Amino acid sequence: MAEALANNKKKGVLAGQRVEGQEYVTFYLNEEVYAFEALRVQEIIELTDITKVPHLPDYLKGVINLRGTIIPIVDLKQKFTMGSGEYKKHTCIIVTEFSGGVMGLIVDAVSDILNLDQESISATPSFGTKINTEFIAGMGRVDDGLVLVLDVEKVLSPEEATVVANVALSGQEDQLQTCSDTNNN
Amino acid sequence: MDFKKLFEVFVEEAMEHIENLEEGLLQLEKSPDDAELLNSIFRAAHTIKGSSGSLGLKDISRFTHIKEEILDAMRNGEIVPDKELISILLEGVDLLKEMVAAVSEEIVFDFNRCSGVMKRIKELLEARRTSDPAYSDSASTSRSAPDRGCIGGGRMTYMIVFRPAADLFRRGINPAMILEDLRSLGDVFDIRTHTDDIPFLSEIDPESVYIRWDLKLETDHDESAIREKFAFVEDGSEILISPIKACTGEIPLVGQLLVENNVVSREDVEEALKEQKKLGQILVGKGKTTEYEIEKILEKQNAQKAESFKKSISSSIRVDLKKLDNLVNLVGEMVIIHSMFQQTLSGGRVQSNVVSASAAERCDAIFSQLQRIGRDIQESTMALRMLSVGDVFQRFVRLVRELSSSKGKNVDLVISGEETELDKGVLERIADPLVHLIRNAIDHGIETPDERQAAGKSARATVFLRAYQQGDAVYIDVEDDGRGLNKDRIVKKALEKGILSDAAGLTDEQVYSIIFLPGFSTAEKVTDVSGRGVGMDVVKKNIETFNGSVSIKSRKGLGVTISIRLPLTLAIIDGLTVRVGSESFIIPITSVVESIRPSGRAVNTIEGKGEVVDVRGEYIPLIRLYELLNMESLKKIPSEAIVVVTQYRDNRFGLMVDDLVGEQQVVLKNLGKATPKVKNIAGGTILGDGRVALVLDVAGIVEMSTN
Repeated sequence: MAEALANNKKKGVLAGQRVEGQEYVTFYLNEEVYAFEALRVQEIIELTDITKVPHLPDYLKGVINLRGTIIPIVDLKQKFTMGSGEYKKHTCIIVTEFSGGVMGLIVDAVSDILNLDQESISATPSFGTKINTEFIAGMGRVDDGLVLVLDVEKVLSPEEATVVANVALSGQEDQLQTCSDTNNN
Repeated sequence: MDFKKLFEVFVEEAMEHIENLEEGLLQLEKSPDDAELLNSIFRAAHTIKGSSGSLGLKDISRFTHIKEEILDAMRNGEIVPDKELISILLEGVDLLKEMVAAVSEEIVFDFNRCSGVMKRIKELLEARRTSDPAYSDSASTSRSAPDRGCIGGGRMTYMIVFRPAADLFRRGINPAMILEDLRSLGDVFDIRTHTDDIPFLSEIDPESVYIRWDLKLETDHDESAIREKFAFVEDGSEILISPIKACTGEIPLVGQLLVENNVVSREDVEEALKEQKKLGQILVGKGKTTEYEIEKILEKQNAQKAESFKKSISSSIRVDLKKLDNLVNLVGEMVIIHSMFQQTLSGGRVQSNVVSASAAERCDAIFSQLQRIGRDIQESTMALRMLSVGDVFQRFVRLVRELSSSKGKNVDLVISGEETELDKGVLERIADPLVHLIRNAIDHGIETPDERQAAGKSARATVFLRAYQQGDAVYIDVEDDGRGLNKDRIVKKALEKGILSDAAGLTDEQVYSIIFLPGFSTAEKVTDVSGRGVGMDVVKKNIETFNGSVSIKSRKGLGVTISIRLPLTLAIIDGLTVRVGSESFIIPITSVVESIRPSGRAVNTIEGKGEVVDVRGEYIPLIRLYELLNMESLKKIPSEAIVVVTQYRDNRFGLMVDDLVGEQQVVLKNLGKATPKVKNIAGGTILGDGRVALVLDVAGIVEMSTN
């Protein structure tokens, strides 16, 4: 499946879809559908053995070998404090590129490649302090429901930087914990 | 043709020749009679001139030409190389470097900047020639010789406008050939082809010439020689030949135009130019700023130039052909083995479906050969990255020469171990720290000649720059025979600056290491060379970024030795693979002393917190790796686990692991740009099964456990 998706991505547009707008890779986290800009997605790979790296926040699961290059892996559900169930058959890693480098994201399943034009993406409503919507760039409407479009840069970059700084400073577990907690609030 | 490629090759070669030139000039100062040396310097200059000329880099070629002139005069014995001449030539070398760097950066170099040096070279040459009566003869003859329009430059540039007669083709003459022929006189450049006379296609007579050219010719020959080339086409053609620029290159465009339009005479312009000062001088003259300020800015400018120069040469590497041949041979061997393997397998298949026992045996043999070749290939590939430190060291000859003369100190630089090889990556980054260290040695370490004589030392000081290999590391020592570090002054200063709160009980070593702390400088006055309190901490930081370390030794009145320890290569390390819980970790073997399984009584706790383990009578701290790394472990009782005794600098400690897996060479990789930096981990490597194993950073572990 992963390969087919990658192929589709390369071909650019799926048959029957409109050419305007932008392409998005959609995936599941629990029952919710999320999307990333397809241009940011380098490839989709099967879940492999992850080497745990000490002293990192929980959602940073460790590192893997991607054809000779080592890349870090983030469990997106854990990052969004949606819990992290067991990894199942369709669990896979979306390898994304962002300004800080290349990173793998564990998602429950990759679903589709969508073409969304800007009009069909609306701004995220505010939920007050209850739900953190900072990672969400917008909400897209598709035939069968709602797609949450994620902002790759926001999902991956700035918090990591602070975590890193704190790890380097203290190197202590408790500090780290508070730090990742504040991130997830 | 790909010109970019050509320029790249030119830059690389030119840089090498420039280095030879510089090195040679410095040597020439010591042995001015060495004819062979002079020849090689001349050749270097000549090659630069030739290759730049052929690429149309006329500024470089013109400038080198003047240098060549002076070298030629030295070679012919007309003048004797002395300090002044060599200084100006070295100054020229610096300009040349910048010009070449400008080529690689694809920026325009302001040639006017060279005019000062060019003028001084010419003046010097003139002065030497006339001041020496024995050679005044040859000087005057050379001046009157027809092919030397003026001393130093000798070349004129002509503007040539050529509008061929329309019937030239019908007369069987190809105007392009004439242009080609002009090249035999000198450098042709700035050729412009004018096509605006070409009529509409319907009106074109295919046998007529409609185009005209203007071009510039830089030549030693005079106008009549050029005119001769056009002799056959003169009839009906329009040919204008006018000298546009004297070889001095001193008349900038405005002046040139003024002269051409007969507004002023050439002499007037030259006179005006003489009055023109450098911007800096004008500003100083008007009291807008001080000379010191200007100098500082100029220094900054120079530093920027040096920076851009460094960037331009770092992307390629020159490899000894022998190393490359060796690698090619190995690859050849691998190809043979590959076919042997194929043969064995297909041979076995003919007999039966199962590979026969003898074939299996052969496969075994082939495999072990393949393993050997693989290792050899790995080694020789790594060797490609290795460069000798000599190239970098050679730069410091110049540095020492200049520093010692500006400080009024007599300093010799003694270099040894130039053939020691280092990874290119390390070598490139070691140059800056070394500059700092050498500057410090000359500025702070070495006394003035008077002070030295008062202390009963010879007035000439020596700075030693040594490289040598010991074990798996390369050491570079910078040693001076100056006054040595002043322990009391360091302590006093550190207390003053609040770097140190209590000086009691510090060992010499600890005191000396204070100078590596940020913001520390004992120099009473700030000089332009050192003493701004940056430097030593930067040196240390720089070196530590590639896993090196710095140590310092000092003897009062005898000098200071600063020793830099560098890993041989960055990429491949020997590692001991250990297991903690389900994960494998690599400990760099260089820091492993031994591995033991302690008896139950060998492990003791101290104050209920720290643990120590008894290693043959010596108690060393025990670090439970699973605790440090916050991991699950299978073995929590030391007597069931393994303790790997590790050493970092003078600290020994035991790392408790579940199991030893084995020893292997691993390729050290970083954990990906997006992975946060983790203190105890130096990086990762990929194991045979494709999994990632983390490589421990022993220095980081020591630091963390001692805090």
